[in-house]
Amino acid sequence: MVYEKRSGHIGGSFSLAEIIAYLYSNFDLTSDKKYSPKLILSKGHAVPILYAVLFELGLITNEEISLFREINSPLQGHPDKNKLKFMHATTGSLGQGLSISIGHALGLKMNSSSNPCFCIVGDGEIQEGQIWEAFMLAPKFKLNNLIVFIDYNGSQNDGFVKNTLDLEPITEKILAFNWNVISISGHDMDEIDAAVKTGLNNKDKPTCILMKTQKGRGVSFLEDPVWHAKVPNEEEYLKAIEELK
Amino acid sequence: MIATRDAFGNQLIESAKSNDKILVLSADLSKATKTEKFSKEFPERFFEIGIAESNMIGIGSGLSEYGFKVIMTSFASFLTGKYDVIRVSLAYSNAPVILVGTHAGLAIGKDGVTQMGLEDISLMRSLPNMQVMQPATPIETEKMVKYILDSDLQTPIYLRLGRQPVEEIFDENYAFVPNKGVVCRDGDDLAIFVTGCLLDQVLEAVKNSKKNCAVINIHTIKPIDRDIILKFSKQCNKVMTIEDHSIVGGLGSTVSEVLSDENPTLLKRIGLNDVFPESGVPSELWEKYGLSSNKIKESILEFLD
Repeated sequence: MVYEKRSGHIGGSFSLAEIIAYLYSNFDLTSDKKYSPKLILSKGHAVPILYAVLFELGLITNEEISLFREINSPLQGHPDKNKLKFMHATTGSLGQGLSISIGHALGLKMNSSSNPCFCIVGDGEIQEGQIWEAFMLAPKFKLNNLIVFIDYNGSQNDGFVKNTLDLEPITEKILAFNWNVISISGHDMDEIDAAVKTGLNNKDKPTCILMKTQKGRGVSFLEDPVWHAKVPNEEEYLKAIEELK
Repeated sequence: MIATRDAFGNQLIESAKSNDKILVLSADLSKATKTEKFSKEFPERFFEIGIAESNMIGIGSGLSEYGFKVIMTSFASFLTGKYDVIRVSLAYSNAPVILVGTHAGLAIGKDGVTQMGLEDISLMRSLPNMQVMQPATPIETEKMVKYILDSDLQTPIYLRLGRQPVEEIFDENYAFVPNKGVVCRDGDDLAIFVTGCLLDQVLEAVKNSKKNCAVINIHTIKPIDRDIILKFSKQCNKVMTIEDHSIVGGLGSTVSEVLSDENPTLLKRIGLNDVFPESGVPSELWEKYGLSSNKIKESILEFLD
């Protein structure tokens, strides 16, 4: 998709492959029902991974995939819920998705739904102030149906997160905001499964799952921050496909 | 006399009695935005978000997916200052919520510029999907708010309200007609289009005038009532706009766009003349910045000279 269109964000999409596969396999995230589980991709630039999953599920066609980032396409450069119904929020300006997720979690609870709202934020993204407004507020409403995943791949647009604006000590910060915090590898399906179940079994707190991930996971050379929004050339593309086989 | 924000608070409670889908989100200004009474009568439908307008706007966007009428309140300046959040989480998302900005214009007086909503119409009007509304009197506010809360909203609405008590111009028979300007006074020397809480000042200014001025109340700035602007610009051949807001991007700009498109007419825009004002007693500020009935009267005479 990104290779063909010469545009898009590969690194941050690859770091989410396991969590996205897990969530779509275990929760009905493509339902038309109003009170179904929700997934808000706050780091909207990773949307190629959602399109890839929807394609695998047969919900979008090869032809639609071929129109990724093209004019007159439902597959926008960042998620657009009005153009593609499987997107649960319109995102792309970083920092906004966790607040929207609180709205969904409240909305589900007020309609007596036990379904969860999942939110995925980037590690660089939580440098945005609005994220911390949302972290501060969610425990007030006892949103135990809200799980936020931090994709801790350690890099952002201009380089490594620790050099741009270090998040550490991140676990302590979010614990201090009165959330459950669970640290896992974002590439281990068993750890993901256990963490999500622990989060959803909680009685009165929202849960933050801190996922250590690797940008460009699965392709050795994509793990460098330079691949945040870089598009592979033909040689790199073929090498990546070979490594992923 | 009460302010449009008071009428909003009263109608909110009336509507909420029969509509349990109405929710109010507050960013710590419920007393000033007149939603405190709602919070006491319907505590389970009132959400105190704290001093975090961006977060409130995002939460409202999410909640609007579940069939609620979500009302978010703060001062006009603080709300519309979160422009990118409104742009993406509400306007581009097309979340059908009601964003209520109070303390529009100079009326907060002594608190000064930071608390004054002076560019909010301009900001909100620039966003696709966003409707922009501003009632002029308590009765118009009640009817407008009732209309909004009774309708099946398809887009976000920005509702701009005033702090100061205003004279009632209308009576209980007033019927709110969406997107249509209201002719308060007919005339053929000058067409004056006014929005919001200066309507009483404008009517006072033209009351004993030698000139025959038409006064049209524009309660909905977007979408704008093009027909009434064209009709009165042709009838009077001279147009004036008056607003407690910057002349950049507000009602004046809106009317100017319509006239430029379809019927170029000499237009005088009265409002904050691309300046940040200052602290002071509101009546003195309106006088200094040309928005008191006296100053409006002078501007009319000067323009028609």
